[in-house]
Amino acid sequence: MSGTGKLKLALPLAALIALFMAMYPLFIMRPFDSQSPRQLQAALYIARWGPPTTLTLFVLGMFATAFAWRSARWPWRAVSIVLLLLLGGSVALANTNIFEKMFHPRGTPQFVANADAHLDSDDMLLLVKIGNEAHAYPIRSMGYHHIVNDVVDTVPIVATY
Amino acid sequence: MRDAETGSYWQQISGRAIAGPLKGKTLNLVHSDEISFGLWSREEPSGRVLAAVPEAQSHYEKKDWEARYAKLPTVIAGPPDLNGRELVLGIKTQNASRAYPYDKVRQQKLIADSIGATAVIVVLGPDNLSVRAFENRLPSTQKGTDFYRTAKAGDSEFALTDSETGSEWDFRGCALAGPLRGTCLRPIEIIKDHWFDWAHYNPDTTVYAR
Repeated sequence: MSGTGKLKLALPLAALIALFMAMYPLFIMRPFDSQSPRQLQAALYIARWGPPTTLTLFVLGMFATAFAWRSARWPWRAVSIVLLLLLGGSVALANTNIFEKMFHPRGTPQFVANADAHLDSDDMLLLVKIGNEAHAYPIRSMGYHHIVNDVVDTVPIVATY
Repeated sequence: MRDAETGSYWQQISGRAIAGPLKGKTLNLVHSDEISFGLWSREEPSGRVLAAVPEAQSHYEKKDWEARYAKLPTVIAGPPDLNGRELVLGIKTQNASRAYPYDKVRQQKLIADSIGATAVIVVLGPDNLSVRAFENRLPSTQKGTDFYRTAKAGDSEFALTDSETGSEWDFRGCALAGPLRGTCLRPIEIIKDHWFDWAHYNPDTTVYAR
C-alpha cells in the first residue's frame, strides 16, 4: 500500500476509534439500565481518556487529510470532510459529560428559618447535625439536586440523595 | 459522584471511590436522620432549612413522588423476600445487615432487635413518619435493656422508658428524666432505600420478621 493509501486508511480508522471512545461510556451508563462492575470500570476508564485521545486522533486525522488531499479525487475528499466532522463531533462529545449536564448540584447552599421554609409538616428532610450546628435538606429538592456541597460547623460535607 | 479535584468517581451509597486516582478510598460517613419538617420544627424551633432555588423549584419532586416511584420498574430484580420497590430501613453493623420494612416499623412503632452482635432499637417518632435507631446499650451499665414506648399524659408526644432505670428518653435518644438524665444512646445509621437497591449492595442482608 502506498503512503497516500495508508493515510487514507488512517482517517476512517481514527474516526472509528474516536466515535467508540465518545459513545461507549454513553451507551454503558445510559439511564434506566444496569451495568456490570467490569462494564462500568471500562466505561469510566474510556471516559477519562476520551478527551485527550479523541483530540489527538482529530489532529492526526487533519494531518492525514492534508497530506493525502492533493493526490485525492473528490469522492475521497468528500468522505474525508465527513470523517473529519465525525472526528470533531467525537472530540466535542468526549469533552462533554452529558450525564453531568442532566444534574444540578448545589454548591453554595442558602438556608432559611423554619418559619420561612414553606414546607408541609409531613415533608421529609435529610438532617445533619455536627456540633451545635444543624442543616436540614428537604428530600423533595434533594431528589432534583442530588448533591449539596456544604459546610456544617466548619466541617465540609457532601449531602447526597 | 465525581470530585472536582481528582476526577475520581464515588459511589453515593457507600462513599467509596470506584474509579480514578482515589479508587479504593472511602469518604467518612456523617450521621444523618430523615425526619419530617413538622418534627424538625418541634425539635429545633430556631432551626434552618435549605432554601429552594427559585428557577429550579418547578422541577422539585411533587408530594406524591414516592407513590409514583413505587410503580416504576427496577433496573435489576431484587431477591424475592420483598417487592423490589418496597421501602426498607437498612441498618448495617460491623458484621451484619438487616432491612426493616418501613410499613412494619410504622405498625410496630418500637422494635428491639439484634443485628449481628449489636443490640438495637428502631423507633418510630411521634409524627408517625420519622424513624431513628439507637444501640441498645445504656450509658451507665453498657448493657442492653427493655424499652417501652409510652405516651405522656395529655400530650401527643411520646417517651421511651427503659426497664433498667425507669429513665425517660426522647426521640433523639437522650434521657430527659430519671437516673440517666443528660445521657444519650448511641445513634445507629439508617439508610431508607428500595429493597432491590439495599439488597444489591448488602447481599448478605436479612429481613426483619421474615
